[in-house]
Amino acid sequence: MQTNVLAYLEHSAACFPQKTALEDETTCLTFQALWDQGRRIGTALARKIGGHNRPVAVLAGRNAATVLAFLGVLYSGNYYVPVDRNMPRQRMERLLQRLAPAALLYAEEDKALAESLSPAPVSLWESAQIQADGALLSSLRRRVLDVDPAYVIFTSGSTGEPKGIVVSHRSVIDFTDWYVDTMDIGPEDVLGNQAPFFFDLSVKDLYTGLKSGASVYILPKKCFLFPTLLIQALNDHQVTTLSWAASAFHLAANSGVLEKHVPKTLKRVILGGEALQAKQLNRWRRALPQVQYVNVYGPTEVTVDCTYYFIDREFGDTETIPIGRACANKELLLLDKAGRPVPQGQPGEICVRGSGLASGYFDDPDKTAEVFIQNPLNPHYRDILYRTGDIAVEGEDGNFRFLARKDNQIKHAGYRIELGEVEAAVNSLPDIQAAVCLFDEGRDKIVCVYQGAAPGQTVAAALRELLPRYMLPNLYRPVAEMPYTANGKIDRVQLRRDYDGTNSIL
Amino acid sequence: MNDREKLMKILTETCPGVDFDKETALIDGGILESLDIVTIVAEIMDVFSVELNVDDLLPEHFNSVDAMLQLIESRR
Repeated sequence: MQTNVLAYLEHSAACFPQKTALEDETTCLTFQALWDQGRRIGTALARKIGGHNRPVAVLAGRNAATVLAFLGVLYSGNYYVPVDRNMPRQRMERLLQRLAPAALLYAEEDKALAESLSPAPVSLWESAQIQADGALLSSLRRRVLDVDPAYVIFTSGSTGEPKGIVVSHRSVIDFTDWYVDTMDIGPEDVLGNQAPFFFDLSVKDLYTGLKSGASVYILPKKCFLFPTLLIQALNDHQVTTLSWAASAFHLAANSGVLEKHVPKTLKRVILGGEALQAKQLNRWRRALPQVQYVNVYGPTEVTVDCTYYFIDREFGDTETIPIGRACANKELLLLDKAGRPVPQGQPGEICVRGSGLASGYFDDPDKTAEVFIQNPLNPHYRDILYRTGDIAVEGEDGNFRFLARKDNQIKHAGYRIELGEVEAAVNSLPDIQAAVCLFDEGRDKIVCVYQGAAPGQTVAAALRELLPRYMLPNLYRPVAEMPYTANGKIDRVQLRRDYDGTNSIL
Repeated sequence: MNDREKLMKILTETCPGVDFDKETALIDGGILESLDIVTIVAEIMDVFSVELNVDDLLPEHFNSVDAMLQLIESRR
């Protein structure tokens, strides 16, 4: 009976000890090495922290060391919290303050950063020098149940503070078993990792690799700026499988690279994170018709995905691609505002049931209670639904189609962003009287409308200190005065109309 | 406007808040993101009426304003 995600690693380390598990630009680790070093780091951490089921922050980069750190934390009987090493300092400090981690784990390149953030950060490299203590690790392992957290991933929060989504071993196992099975991934496969490790899409590459014995190649960041380098890397490493954010897939198609160079060993491409566009999909399909394309959908709160759709027919360039049907052991309900199921073909909010549901938000019972609710169709016993905030319809063929968000959350460059968090940052600047952010979906641009004396360039420079790059507004529109509604709120509808008006003239 | 000014206008509009005059590691320093490159390339082709091929898209051509100006010049 599997109750811990580490069992995946232990199985693969026994079956394929000398096979490459994980590779980045400079490092290559076998399953045996991952297992051995993970246990050493786990031993060192357990001795330092004591106790179990406590959060350990990991400074996360695009490298194998980050994954090793995650595994070490799990071996110590605790759960990991990836923190983007490139996050602006203030946001990182606030996040760490709220989390109050039992330790901060860092790779050598981040020594200075780690020491400035924490009085006693733990070095990954030093921890890996210690002998593993088998008796200590087994006693810790017995105390971690499958309902205990494996990780906490922070995403953008509408009030200005990121929120931490707590995900258990059980949820990761529930997802991974389904994914490896359905996508038919085996030890002969090479997974080309695109998703950053502080983003839950990466859970796919990580645990799929550990479970199936496939190798994970962490694609260098440059590959996503320069498409020719990307194709070269995919071919050099004989990558067979991509589990990517749709935005990265779209960028490669738009660059025109596929008409000149193609990845030769690809078998399957699984796209999630945001709406997959038929036009870009068609460019890939023309270049690589033999590849299986799959569209998947799911917020972090349901553990990676809750629906999937195998692309099994042609789609016109402007057609909407379905998000498909529920994954195994998950159920989707479309409910109206009163919590009643909508008639087939009518839009409703996607609500999800199943073992994949997160345990809630870290230190935020109110927010947890708001979206993890009792199933309104079942008053008899505890039966929890997660309200996604996504509006969808169910087609006659049983496939769901995504329609819209019901709030100010957007998907931009593959990231889930609350415009409220961007606005909170702009409003915190001294020269700003008021600010509202809009999303121009057609152009994939965040527009910041603000009232204040500072020029857009100055506002932008100041925001770089407060927000991760992917959250920065792309356009700045100063206004002399904000429009207000009758009840004294900034009139967003009017601002949107003004923006659309000026934009159609341009 | 001369070439440099035109390019600066494109860059500061695409990536507000970056000091493009001084930066020489726009790629290696991780300042530009993938969407930025796409926008910059499209704008360069439009404003300077040059054709940039996908094979021209290499890190060394985008690390600084000077490198980008050289790329534009070589494609005229």
